[in-house]
Amino acid sequence: MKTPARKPWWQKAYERRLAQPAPTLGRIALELAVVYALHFAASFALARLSLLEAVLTPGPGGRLALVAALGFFALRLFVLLLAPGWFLARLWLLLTRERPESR
Amino acid sequence: MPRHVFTRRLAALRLPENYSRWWVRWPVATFLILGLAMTLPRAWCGRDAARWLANDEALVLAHARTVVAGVEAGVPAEPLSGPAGFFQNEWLFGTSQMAALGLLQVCIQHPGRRDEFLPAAEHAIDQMLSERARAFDAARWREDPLASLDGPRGHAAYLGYLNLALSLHRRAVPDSRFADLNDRISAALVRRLEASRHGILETYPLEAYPVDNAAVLGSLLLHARITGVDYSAVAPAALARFSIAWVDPRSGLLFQAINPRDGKPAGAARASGTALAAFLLSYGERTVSGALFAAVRDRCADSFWGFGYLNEYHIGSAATGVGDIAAGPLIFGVSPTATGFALGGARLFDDRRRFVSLYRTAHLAGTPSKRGDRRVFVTGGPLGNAIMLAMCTARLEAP
Repeated sequence: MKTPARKPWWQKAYERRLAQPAPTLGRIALELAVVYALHFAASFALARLSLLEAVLTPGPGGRLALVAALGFFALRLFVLLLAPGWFLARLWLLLTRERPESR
Repeated sequence: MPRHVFTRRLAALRLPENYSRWWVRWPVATFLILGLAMTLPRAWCGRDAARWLANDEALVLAHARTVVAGVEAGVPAEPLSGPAGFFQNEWLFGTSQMAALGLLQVCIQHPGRRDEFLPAAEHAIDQMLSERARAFDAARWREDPLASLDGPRGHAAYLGYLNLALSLHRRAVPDSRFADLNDRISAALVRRLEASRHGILETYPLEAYPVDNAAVLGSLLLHARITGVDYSAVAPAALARFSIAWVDPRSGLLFQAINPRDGKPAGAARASGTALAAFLLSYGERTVSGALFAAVRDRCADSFWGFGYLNEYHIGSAATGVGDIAAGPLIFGVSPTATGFALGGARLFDDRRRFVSLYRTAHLAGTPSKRGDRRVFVTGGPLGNAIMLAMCTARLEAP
């Protein structure tokens, strides 16, 4: 008897994602608020450091500061560049989700 | 309406079925993300640029107060023995120098606010003169830069940047208490330039950088205009080196380093040194500094979705690097310090579009935030905030 072929990991992940219920409006808003709160807390913390001097200083301290700066910059890129569109796109996807009967 | 009814109705809210087709849903979602990313952030991040260009008093003063607070807090002391200590002292000097330039420019542009900002500018100059700020230069030369003014050694960085702040102080305050020191340093720099075989003063033993010599020359030309001293024996030849000998003919950028023994380039032509040199020279003259800024703008500047930046090496160059203390860390070849210094050039030479696009990037990376009556770039620290004030209030001193 032929054994059923094993599904690749991405197919399993996709099916798991499909099985999850659509996010609610509250959850979308909450996730956006968490991202903005994280950005606010990080900027509040960084205001107490002399990050630029640390980044420009050669050595292990400079590399650590560079990692922190790049991490914050990535978060800020997301918050300023992508988050507004990401929020609206998720709302759009929520409003146009498939009806259960049409599946 | 009871809450559970409202949430149930909200959950049931859907657009007509026609919109639920995948080829409608996903392209619209992608368009929303990209469309907003390409339009909203550039408008949001650039909204203060026009205010800086118009010398908006509320904005300038709020940022100047942050720089004053940084000057008063100082830079934490570190033992000079370790590399961190060496750079910490260099940052103290650099922060004080940029703070002094920025605050003096605020005093000149807003004379009614001199009482608030002149004491802090003078405090920054006093910090530059302190033994701690001199220590990084003294450690490399094994002699104090101020105690050895009669000597032959270059000390181009310490004396050049200090003298520029002293000359600008004299421009703002005609009866400056630093006038005597300004005259003595200027005389020493002119004598050393005359004695130099290749017309370049060393920053450290056997290390010479055109950008530090731009500070030397900018300070001398400003000093000459204020005092009437004649530097015609050295100034034209020194200025010519910034447009011929030290400039890469292919890109128009300044070579980052010059070998003081033979006067030949010892480093690639780069944007960080050129952009800062254009700003420093502008205190003394406008033709060569304008040409240097034009080279940086035409050969290194680029933008993405309205956010301007400068590549450290000219576009099309095969040169690569991970960055250094002058350029900062290079991410995809983009230089953070060149991008910051080019703000000053764009303002000086009235390139408003470039200023706005570079300012958007500064806003994105710097995270400006209002704290009481101050406005601070939170990732800048004392050095970044001092540089931003100096660049965003830059003005052509040369006629």
